Amino acid sequence: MRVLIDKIHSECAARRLTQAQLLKKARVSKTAYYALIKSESIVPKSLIKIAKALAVCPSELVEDPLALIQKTRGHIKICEHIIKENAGVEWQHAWHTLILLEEEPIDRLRRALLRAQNRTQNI
Amino acid sequence: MPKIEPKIFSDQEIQFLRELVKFKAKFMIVGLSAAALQGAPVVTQDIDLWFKKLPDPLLERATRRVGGSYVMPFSNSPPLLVGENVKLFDLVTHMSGLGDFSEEAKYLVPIKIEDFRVPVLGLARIIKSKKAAARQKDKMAVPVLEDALKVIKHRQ
Repeated sequence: MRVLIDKIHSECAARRLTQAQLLKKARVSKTAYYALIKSESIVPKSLIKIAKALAVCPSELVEDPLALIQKTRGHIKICEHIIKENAGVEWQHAWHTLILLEEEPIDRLRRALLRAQNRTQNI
Repeated sequence: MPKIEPKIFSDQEIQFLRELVKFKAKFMIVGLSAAALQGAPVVTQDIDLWFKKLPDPLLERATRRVGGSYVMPFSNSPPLLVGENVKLFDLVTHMSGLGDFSEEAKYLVPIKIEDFRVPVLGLARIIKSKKAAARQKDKMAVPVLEDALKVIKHRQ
């Protein structure tokens, strides 16, 4: 898997950034950048083999911390909106409900049962 | 959120619910377990099941299928389910502040668990019953349930 140089260039253009400005903002040296774009693959070969065996894209097997941050920001915005529209709603209640709604119902129930079990054990 | 390992609410407990649905037993999940299934961030020690009529031969059959037994009410004890794979389930004979089973069946929400859908009483009705309940711990659950309902409606 190679870096999409054209994608980097187009994203820079959309933000009116030169390559030098991008590297400065990202705190990435020119050396590191050129090594990256010249690499045959930036993903370990073993991961590519595992992904091929599963018939999935390697990116599906990699945690994306940026995606999690964006998701969290999205949830925060939703919480703020709900609280604005519904006076008296507690932030914690709204937050935890939103998180639970991302889970399968059976896992929500398991969490509720497990918390009760843990509470009993901690008494 | 990290996935919950299925040490609690196991395959056999799911199988019990599956058997009830397969046999078309007239029941619904109520209480805080119903609320949890719908997304409310609550804590519960058991799963409350409300049957249209007890004893129910379909309930007894489903219980036996997972190695448990139905115990009829005796003296002051309510009807019970006994056995390793049904011990988390409680039988409810009445819901404070609500109509009878047939009236409340209008508010059922089918919730998918694995390959089947289990009937669950809608959160708004759970809230109504908690408000009408005599126990302080039921009333204390109301604020979180009400907030959860607002979030769920917003997301729909």
